[in-house]
Amino acid sequence: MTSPSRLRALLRQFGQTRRDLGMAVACRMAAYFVLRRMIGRDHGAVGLRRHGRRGSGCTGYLTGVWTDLARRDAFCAPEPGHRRRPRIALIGDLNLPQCRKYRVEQAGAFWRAQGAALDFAHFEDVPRAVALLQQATHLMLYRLTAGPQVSMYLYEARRLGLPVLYDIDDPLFSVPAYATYGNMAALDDAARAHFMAEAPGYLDVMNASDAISVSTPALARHAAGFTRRPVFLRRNYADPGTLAFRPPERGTSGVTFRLAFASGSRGHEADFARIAGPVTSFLRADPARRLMILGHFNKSRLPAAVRGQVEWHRFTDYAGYLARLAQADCAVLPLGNDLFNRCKSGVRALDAFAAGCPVITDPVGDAVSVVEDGETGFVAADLDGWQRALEGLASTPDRARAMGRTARARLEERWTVSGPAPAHVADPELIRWVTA
Amino acid sequence: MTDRHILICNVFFAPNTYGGATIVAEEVARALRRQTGWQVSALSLWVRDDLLPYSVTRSNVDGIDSYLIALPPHRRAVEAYANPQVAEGLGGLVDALAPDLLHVHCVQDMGAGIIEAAVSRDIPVVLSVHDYWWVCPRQFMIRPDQTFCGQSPIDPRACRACVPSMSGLRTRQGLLMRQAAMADIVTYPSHFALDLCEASGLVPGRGVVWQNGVHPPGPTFFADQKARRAVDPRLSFGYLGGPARLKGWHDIRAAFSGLERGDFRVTLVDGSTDGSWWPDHQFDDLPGDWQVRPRFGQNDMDSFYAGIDVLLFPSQWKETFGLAIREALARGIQVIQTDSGGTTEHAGRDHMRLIPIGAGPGPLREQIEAALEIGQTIRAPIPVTRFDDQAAEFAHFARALWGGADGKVSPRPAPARPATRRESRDTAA
Repeated sequence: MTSPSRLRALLRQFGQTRRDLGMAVACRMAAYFVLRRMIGRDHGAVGLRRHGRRGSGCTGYLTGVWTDLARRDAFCAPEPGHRRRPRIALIGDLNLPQCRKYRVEQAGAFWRAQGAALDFAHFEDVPRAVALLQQATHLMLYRLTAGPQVSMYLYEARRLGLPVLYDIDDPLFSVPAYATYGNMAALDDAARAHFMAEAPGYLDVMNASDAISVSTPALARHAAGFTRRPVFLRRNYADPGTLAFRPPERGTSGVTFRLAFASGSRGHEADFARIAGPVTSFLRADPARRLMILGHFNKSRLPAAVRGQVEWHRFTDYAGYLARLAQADCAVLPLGNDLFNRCKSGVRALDAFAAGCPVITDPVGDAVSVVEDGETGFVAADLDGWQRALEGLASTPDRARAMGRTARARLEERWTVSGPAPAHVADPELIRWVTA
Repeated sequence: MTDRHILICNVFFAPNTYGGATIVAEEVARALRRQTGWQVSALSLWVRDDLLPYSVTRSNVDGIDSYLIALPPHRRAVEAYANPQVAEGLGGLVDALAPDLLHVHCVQDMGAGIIEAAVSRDIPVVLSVHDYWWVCPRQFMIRPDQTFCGQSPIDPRACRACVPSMSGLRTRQGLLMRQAAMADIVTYPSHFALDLCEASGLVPGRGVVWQNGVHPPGPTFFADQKARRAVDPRLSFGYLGGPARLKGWHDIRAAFSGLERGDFRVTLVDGSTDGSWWPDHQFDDLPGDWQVRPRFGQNDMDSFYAGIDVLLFPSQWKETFGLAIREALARGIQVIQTDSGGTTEHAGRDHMRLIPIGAGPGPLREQIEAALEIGQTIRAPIPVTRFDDQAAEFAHFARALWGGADGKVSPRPAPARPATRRESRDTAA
């Protein structure tokens, strides 16, 4: 309600305005005042006028800002000159849980340990991603292909003077890797063609960046053939979230031996098919043996002879996944020897070690850097090697448990980062590139 | 000490510059960088429809990182003085930048919560009052009928006609007083402003006078002025205030319309951002040669002042400072002014006849006629505070808050030393 005294004051103002500026102006100002009151708004500061207009869409989110800053001769904002703790804005594709854990959330812990802060946003969350850029000293793009949004982020990063690091953990930029990837057989022609067609887009973004970080030495070597940018190694390791899991003592049950095969995404049936023979023989030798399959798997691709000895567990969160792994006596990591798999990291071995579980792996990918043959598991050179490793562990359960304990201990000794990163986890040049 | 970092809060800041207080904030920031090597960043506002509300954009002007918070176009009235989302944005910025001091200037539409956001992070705060926003919900003590309120001190009970709600006024007043009390130092541009604000309850005893600075004349100013005078011997008047009764425009018009001579020039500056002040005004019925020129910036002010001999400043309210008066005095330009609060606190006041507020056009016409009789004369510049001086004084405040040996201002919680007040020469009308 407007008090009588205020109403009188407003009427006096109207009269004064009419005398000074004329009836038309006075009426226009009065109408504006009434409208503002009706919608419950008050006047802002004098001169605080609206800039930009909504409706330009996500990819044009910053167009109005850029235009206004350019017209004010304030477009470029060089990297902040004052003392700043490095602060990385990580914008990436966060849709794959295991990728998010190891390359995004773990990156936060990793860079904190190196003295840098890291905030992350999914690339489709444009307002958050743009907001992070404003207070960042570096941009890190993770696993992104070319597109209008990525171009916008790169443009904004250049406006802000931010160095750009591109991080990737699979050879998504590589047609040769896709063309020879055994797991692609599980996909239809259209899906295969899609992945091939996407590869140049990933490379475009890599080459639009200033430096590249990858998860394995093999991937680093392969990437170096596609770009002149420096390629740094930043391996996956056991972060505090992984180490927080403490493997329980294994209880006794009617099961004599349980091996685990984990699949975090579709297409890994082809990996399992490599060892279907030795695993089938192993299971058939003792009806009390079990195969645990964790995550995504097409049941029709499993040999009929072993289906009765299979325990199925749906894809779950990380803690649930480790808890399942901890019930196994051994984890199996079969990988076909192709270019794509040679670039893979050893995260599934790290997960198994965290659960106190020894690992049998093919001599493919970076898992061989994690598994010490005969100490924390076995590197099986061929199918006979798989057979011997499985039977050897099953026949000496005490040794299998001891290997699991050793695996956990090695994980804590060698595959953690609580301060300056060891050189086998991250290239010192990468640390300097961000923190110097 | 060179790695110190000051974060400035002002509703406007380059690249979004508007108004006199913004000029002060920007120029002091630049001078502070030059003098001390300290890093300076700024937080200000812009209203945007195309960004997520309250998102922050970084820009950079003259080496100063300028962070702009995007205000939504529609806001509630209460958010002009209490906006937790702006305070949260400031808090995030403080966390990221880790400044050593927060300097709060004009924060209308930012809200006062930014002070608490800094204090809760153990960042010392200097609050610089530039107008009456902290004690008057209408900011300038101008009533709805465009007349000066004139209270001294301000009694909120007398504000009923000015505000939609007395309850809202009490809420505002309580909040602002509590927030201001958290500041380590409260500065005012004049003794008049300090006396009025403190008497009205704004952190009594913690205020200091921190006079605004101006840019001195450039190296070619006097030569340019001389050249202009050589070409055109007519006396030239200048006016910056716009066509507002409060700024004295109606007195100016009436004063000139009564003159019986026309051997002079008058330059009116359109200080609006869109050139909207003067297009509807006709000057054909006035004696003399009248012209309108667009607003000028700090870099080209000399071109305006070199073109005038007398600055007209017949303000009809008690202003807190009066930047244009100092700019003119520093250039040896005669000032004809009213007795308008803090605008008179300069070394030239003893040599001028201050016109009482509300006296009408008569006294103004007398002084205009007297100036015309004398004609163009060379006047010595009058010493005024420069931005470099102002920045040096601010550095003194800052060092005191950081525990420097040369500072005399005590940090919170002990109140800063009371200002050494001169006898108040002004009372509100």
